[in-house]
Amino acid sequence: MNSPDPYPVSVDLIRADNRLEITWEDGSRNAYAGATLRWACPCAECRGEAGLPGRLDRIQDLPADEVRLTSVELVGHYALQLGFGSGHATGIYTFRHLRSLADPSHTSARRWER
Amino acid sequence: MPIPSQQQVLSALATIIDPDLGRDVVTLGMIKDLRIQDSGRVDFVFELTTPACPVRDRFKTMAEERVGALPGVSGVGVKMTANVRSPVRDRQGQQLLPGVKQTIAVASGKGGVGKSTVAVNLAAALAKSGAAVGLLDADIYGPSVPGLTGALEQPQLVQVVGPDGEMQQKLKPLEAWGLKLMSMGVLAGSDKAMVWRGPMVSRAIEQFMSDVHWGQLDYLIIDLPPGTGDASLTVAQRVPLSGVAIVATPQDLALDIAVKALQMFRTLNVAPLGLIENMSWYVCPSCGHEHHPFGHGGAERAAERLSVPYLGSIPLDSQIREEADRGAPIVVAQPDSAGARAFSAMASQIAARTSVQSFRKLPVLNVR
Repeated sequence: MNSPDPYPVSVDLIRADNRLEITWEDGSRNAYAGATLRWACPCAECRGEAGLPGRLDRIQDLPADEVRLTSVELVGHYALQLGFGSGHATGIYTFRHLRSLADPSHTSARRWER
Repeated sequence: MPIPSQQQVLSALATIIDPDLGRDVVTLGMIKDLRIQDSGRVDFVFELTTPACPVRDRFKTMAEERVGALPGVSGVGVKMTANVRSPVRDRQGQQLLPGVKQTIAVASGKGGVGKSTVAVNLAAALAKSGAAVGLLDADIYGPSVPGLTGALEQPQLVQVVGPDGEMQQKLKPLEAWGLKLMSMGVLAGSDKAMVWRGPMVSRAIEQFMSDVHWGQLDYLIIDLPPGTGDASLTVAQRVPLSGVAIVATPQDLALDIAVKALQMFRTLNVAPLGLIENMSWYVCPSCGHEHHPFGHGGAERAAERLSVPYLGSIPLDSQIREEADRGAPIVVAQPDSAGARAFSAMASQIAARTSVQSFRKLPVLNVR
């Protein structure tokens, strides 16, 4: 019955260090810098859509405001929505995406994809 | 003869394992208010995780037998109660549906598979078992709940005290068959077409959750529109759903598309409660034979292939259709019919599987 997706037990946003920490159900713990998360934003504006490049493809640098984490909210049962100092908050970071950001080798096979 | 200790009684009860949760009923905290009198009489409360528990009677018999077999016990009094456990603990969910313990979505890939009939009867069966149940019709374009329940009047506005003590104006859900109901069909009028783009649909569904005074509910059943569009996505994003039940008819075409709905919910990490086969068989009124107009066992095989639970089959029964047209759920109107029995069994299964899900906690979010 359990979903094969990684699932967090706790999520800590430490604003003073601009860091997000996730403890997963399997007991492992990952820490993410604000800049890492901002550059990994999966939203259409940042990533581009319909074959067109997104904002993050076109720029080299982000001002400090853009990479400063300000908020974190749970989206349904599958993702976190992160807010940044610039007001950018359209990225929905799935647990799977977050897990693979911290550990690129983590690719738990989906049972239902055959 | 010496009377047994609390520990001896609990040890005897700990041999009863909940088949769905896989742990013993003492560890699960289901035994409450244990009292042992000097005469050897033992009384306790057996608190189930759902009033629709499929093994309710078996648990009672087992508890009486195992405690009664202890030396020194002169009598056993078991009081069966139920307290639906809530998985909703985060602030976001609490704000949106503060009094709702479990949210269960009923979805399908294709339209016309009887999803709303299943949702209404599932809700009515849970309510009949003693739970407080709401039914949210999230099908904005084709709301079926008003017709299926006969609840057609315009909802009233009520003043309620909000979380911060201020007064808020909310919509009072309609009540029928022991259920609280809300649907676009009663807000806009049953014959009015909603010619809306996706974002409007999402907004309306959010308002059904935030601006309706649902009160305290054990279960909120959400009847989704067919497919994998805006309404389903909004529901899966805005509330941490306890799970989703997928309705399909037995033919390959319908099943192949039901699989898409299942995939969508899995991508969104919503637990699949299982697959329901509707219009499964038909008993010919003239010859009395069982016919399978759409084939047989397709949903069960699909459930096995996808490793999700199979929740059972509902017959293609003209009684179900007649009661539905009359605005009555068959589980209430004709509780002894084959259709009603199938719906009630399915509701018990879904309640049991939802209880399993509620033991998975939402992550704790801290900002500092």
